[in-house]
Amino acid sequence: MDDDQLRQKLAAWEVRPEIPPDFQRNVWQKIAVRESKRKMLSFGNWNNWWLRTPRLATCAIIFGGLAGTGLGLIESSQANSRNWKNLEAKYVQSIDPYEHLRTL
Amino acid sequence: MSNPSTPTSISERFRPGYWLLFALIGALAVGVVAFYGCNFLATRDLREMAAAPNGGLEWLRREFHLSDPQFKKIEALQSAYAPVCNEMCRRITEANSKLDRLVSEKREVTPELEAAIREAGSVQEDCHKQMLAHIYQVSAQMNPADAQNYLRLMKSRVIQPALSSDTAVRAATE
Repeated sequence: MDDDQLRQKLAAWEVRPEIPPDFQRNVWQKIAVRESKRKMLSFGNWNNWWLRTPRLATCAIIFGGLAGTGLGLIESSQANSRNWKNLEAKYVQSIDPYEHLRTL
Repeated sequence: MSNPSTPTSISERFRPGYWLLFALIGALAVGVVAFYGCNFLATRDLREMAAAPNGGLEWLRREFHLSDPQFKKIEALQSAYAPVCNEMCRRITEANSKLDRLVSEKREVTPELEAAIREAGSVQEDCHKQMLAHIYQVSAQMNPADAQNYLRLMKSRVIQPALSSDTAVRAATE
């Protein structure tokens, strides 16, 4: 067979694939089954959609802000308590000569 | 149907590990800023009070709910008492220094040492009288409930700070 004949044969060749009627439904079903399977987060396996989204960063930042504020309030409360006691001591020193001399 | 391996949004362009790192660093940075910011703002008022020269009187005003006229009167009493307090400091220093020197020098109780002990005791007695007079004057300017609290506090902090304020009272009734 020469090249011309081969070319004619190929041009005449028609492909008629037969797609089953439930082909699309089967594909989506397989996708749904895989997505519903629980995957254990092993070390190095970071291929989870919820780790990729910015929502994690947003939640972490909000949590960091709340935690920082909470700890800041606790620390400031203790600092204010110390300052209040120091102010009381300052007043006592202003009227008690012995206390005044003791703290010199 | 599109190729699932091709990233279609910004969230898919970065590796998950980078998002996690970004989240951790961002959370830490925001947390630190929130902590120090909150701490700074919440303690600013008392820090300024502590740094002010009349911080003690400001404490008195807030602790015992003094009105402006009450505070002005107490401020005047405090100013009048200051030279008395300074004089007491001088006498205490003098009497205690003398007593300390004699106790170190002597090896028995001499009349001179006895006199120094009496002098130190007399100075302490005068000091307590002056302080009590001032405390009573200050409490007289306050509302009754606050005056009661003020006297109770001064009894424990000033009159006999080393002892429970009702030690002598309990001993008398046992």
